[in-house]
Amino acid sequence: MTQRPLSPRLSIYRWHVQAVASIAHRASGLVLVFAIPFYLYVLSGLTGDAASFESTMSALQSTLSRLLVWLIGVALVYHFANGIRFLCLDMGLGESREMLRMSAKAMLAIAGVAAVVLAAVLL
Amino acid sequence: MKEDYLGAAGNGFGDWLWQRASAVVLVLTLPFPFILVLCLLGGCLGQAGLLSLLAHPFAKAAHSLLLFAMLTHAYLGLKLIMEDYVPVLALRLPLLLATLAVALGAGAWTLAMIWSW
Repeated sequence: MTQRPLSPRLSIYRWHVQAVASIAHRASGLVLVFAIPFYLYVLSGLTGDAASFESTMSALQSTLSRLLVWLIGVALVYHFANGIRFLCLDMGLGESREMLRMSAKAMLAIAGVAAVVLAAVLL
Repeated sequence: MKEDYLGAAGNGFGDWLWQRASAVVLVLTLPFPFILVLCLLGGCLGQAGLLSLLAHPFAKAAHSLLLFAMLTHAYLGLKLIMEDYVPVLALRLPLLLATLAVALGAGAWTLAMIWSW
């Protein structure tokens, strides 16, 4: 192990909304990684015989599953929206400081709206 | 002191490009399963309808592409996170290889399922 300090140096840097949007992209990405086995499990259950379809559907209706689908849904909407923002930045669109701040806030707002809407639909 | 890193692999740009190419594929394909799940939960789609949608040859091809993009994107994202937060090479390398093995295994298993419909 080297003794160099690890980046990001959270105790030194001041938090700003672009950094929140960036770390939220990682956090939501990590949630979505664990959503992949859930997706494959549900897909295999739903496309099996009629009995496995019924049992998978009733498992999906449980409170725990609906909470999980809510979490995955919010992570997906955020990662999706902010991912498009990152692709735009790669193409040189919206790189000014004001635009970066504004778009970061907008993506976080989209995630907030998704959280409320999905909660109303699922919970 | 022994340095704890491998030399530059030289494929950082490749990783960056694959991450973005897979992102574009995911932007185009991922809304479909998301909508299907909501339809199933909402009760406007049953198993017969789901199977006839998924078994269409075009859907199988799109689903395979989605699967490839999803696993590639997840692997590269996890790789990035590990490179940032797991500084010990002896830990990072097996983690990375295990992730790759799981991704390849999941891909093979799911491809077999998709093309058996």
